[in-house]
Amino acid sequence: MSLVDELQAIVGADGVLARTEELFAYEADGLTLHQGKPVAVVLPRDKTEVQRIVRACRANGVPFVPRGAGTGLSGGATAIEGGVVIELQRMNAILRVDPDDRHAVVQPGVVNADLSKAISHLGLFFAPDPSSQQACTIGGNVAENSGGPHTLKYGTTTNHVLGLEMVLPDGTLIRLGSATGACAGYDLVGAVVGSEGTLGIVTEATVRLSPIPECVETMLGIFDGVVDACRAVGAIIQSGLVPAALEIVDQRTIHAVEDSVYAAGLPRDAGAVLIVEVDGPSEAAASQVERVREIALAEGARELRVARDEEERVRFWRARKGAFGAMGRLAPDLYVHDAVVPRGKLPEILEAICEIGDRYQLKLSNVFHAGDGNLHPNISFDRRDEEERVRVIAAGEEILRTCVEAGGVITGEHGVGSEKRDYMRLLFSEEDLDAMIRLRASFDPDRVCNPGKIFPATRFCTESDPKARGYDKVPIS
Amino acid sequence: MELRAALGDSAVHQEPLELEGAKLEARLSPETGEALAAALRSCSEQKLGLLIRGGASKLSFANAPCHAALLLDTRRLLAPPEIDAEDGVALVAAGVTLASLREALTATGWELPLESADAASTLGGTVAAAAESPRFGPVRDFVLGLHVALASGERVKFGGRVVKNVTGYDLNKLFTGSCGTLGVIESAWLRLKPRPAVVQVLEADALGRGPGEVLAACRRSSVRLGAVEGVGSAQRVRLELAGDETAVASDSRELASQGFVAGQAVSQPEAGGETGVFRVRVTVRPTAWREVADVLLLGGGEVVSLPARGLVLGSFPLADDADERAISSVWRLSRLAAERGEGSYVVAAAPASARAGREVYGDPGETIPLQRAIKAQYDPAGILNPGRFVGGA
Repeated sequence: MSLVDELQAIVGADGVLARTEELFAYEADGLTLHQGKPVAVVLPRDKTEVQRIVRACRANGVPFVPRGAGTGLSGGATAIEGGVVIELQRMNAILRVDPDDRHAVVQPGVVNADLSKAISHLGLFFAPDPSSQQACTIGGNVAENSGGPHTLKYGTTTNHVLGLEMVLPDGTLIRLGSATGACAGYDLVGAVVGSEGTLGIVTEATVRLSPIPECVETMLGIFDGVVDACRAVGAIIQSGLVPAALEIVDQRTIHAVEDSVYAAGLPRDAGAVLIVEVDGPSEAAASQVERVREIALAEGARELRVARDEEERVRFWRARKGAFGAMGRLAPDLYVHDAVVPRGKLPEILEAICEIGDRYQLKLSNVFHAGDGNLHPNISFDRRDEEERVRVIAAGEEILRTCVEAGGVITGEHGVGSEKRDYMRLLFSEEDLDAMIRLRASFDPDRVCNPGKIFPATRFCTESDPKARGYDKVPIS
Repeated sequence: MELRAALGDSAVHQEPLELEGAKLEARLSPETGEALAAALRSCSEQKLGLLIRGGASKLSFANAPCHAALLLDTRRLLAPPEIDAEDGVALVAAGVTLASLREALTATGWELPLESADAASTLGGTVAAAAESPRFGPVRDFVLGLHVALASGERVKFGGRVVKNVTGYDLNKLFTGSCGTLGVIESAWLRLKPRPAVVQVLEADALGRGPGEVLAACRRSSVRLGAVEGVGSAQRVRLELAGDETAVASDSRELASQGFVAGQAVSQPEAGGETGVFRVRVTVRPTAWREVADVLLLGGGEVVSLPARGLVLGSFPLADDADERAISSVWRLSRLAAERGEGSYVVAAAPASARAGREVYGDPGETIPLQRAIKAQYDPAGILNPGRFVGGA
């Protein structure tokens, strides 16, 4: 019996994709630069099927890659070393909502925005809000420790996960954490969130729910240049205000957005716009708006528009969240970087990034989470043009080096995946990486769960192979 | 002695002592990360168990060590904190006390989101024990990066100084709260909190208010600490509001309409000496706080509930030579309280005799094999706080 036959026996014929044309959609995630073709894609309906799939893969010596909606931007859900993609979108039930204790239990395939929609009548929402929230799944959010524009106030996914149920790479089902968030011993939930699907497959997540604020005010600061906008961000942070979001959109992005269906009436002659959102009780939000206005104007804002109603507020955000989609007008492919720098360094780093883009003659634009120092330099390109592709990658590496030299890191919310694994040494020594690999070896000594991610390609040569070091002798269960 | 060569004479103190039931031959007090790493390497090679201490304020927040030959004292791992007042982050060495760090921050617009009732508490010990502040919440939320010396003598770093970071595994989370069993913290990058413009304390009778009503008051947006203290008719709800003037004034008005008046500062839960006391932290469903508190109150001690955090803290006098009946009674009560709130408990302090042969961390359940695998990866010789952590890790 072939592996595909075995998988069909587990999930039924309609739950396995193995024909060449069916697999095209799974060759990449949101990062089209890195591709890998799986031998099959399997769509389980429950945790027992996930366990059986994992055991079948193990018995056949085939690696497996968990995948949600495939919206990731670092090649994290791509079968870079072949194997089976375990696509979890059919496990999309909201199992329980406890509004008084403010938590919900969900399956990994629940779409991020769908959870918030389903509980909005209770006055609650799920805070992590990646730009892809209309499509991305909570399982994917857990794997990547996803952030979003509102991370500034609400934190990333790790701050909103209380417990997990997962299938370990040996097929064992285990529960980590609890509905109260407490756990006896090591913070295994904290270690698994953001592990990019390399430690096992999450089959259930208990997530924290947050109260919908009484009032939300969204502002648009219009600046002549992106550097002025960055200075305003620094001034707002230093004033002690904690806005819900502080986002910058540069001029090139403004043009792309205004030419697209996401047009929000952003002024085309502005050098940058700064979206500031504050929330809380009505009176407090109103006073914060005035403080933001004072600071923005003092830092050179031409104008500060406050959204007059919900419709305008949604339009501001559609421009921000639709920016990546709007880039599709500039070129067929988009390479989104995700470095983070100390916030105080934003003005100088932005200038350096624009200089790098110009020097490599690339269409580079910036739309980013300024309040967190989380940059998203976007390079629009055509991957069929090999010469341009080389320039894109070289510029990307130079951007990452510049950010790391400024005290930053290479990824704030997209993950390392296959994309940035060879840049890990910009930040980490061999000993640092080895310390991370020890965690991997505790969960997945045979490196069968989403291989080829996070760690530099050369880490797993003979001398650094976990098995060669005897890590596989440690019993898992 | 090999350790003297590695650390220098001034860092090895041949002063036999007994601590936590372990007879220790000497105390090591390295001053640098290099010396710390050298000591760990040497101890690993010789399989010498280490009992690790910072300010010693959390020494009894662990199981009794199964074997330990030496005391590792991290208080001399000192360096002036590197405070970035522009970004609101700070790099702090393990031996720095929270009290001195708070002092160093007074001139800035930032405050330290870590707290301890004990002035001797160090940064390293607070992070290692994940000693949660009732006011600011879990320690894990404020640790951006760690520099750690592993048992092998390797010096490694995780995370960084930036406030958002998914570069590699989040080992900050794994090491925060690992009670020194996976490595010894040299220093940490912390995220600071903006100093609030206004802090105000309000209080009201708890009696006559339903648990849901109290929980809702504690959950108001500017309330950073909401505690219920006292017994019977003396039971009070105390709220500490913090933030900008408008936010605090707005909540304050609403709470005044519910009968809250200006109050005394909330007492520091878990304050006081650690001898002759049994302290338990019960984490529960927030809505179950009162039922849980009522169970703990049966023990005749002091109970402080933090409804919005789903935390109920119990403190009972328990003599160092208490008999088995008294000891069993407080443990049973702790377990019962956790069950009532569908949560779990941790014994935060107890005489060594009351911890002997018992698991202070409650029930680790099915994760024990995984936790042991992790311990074996980072500390294969088992020298770091042996036996102190969950399941004897």
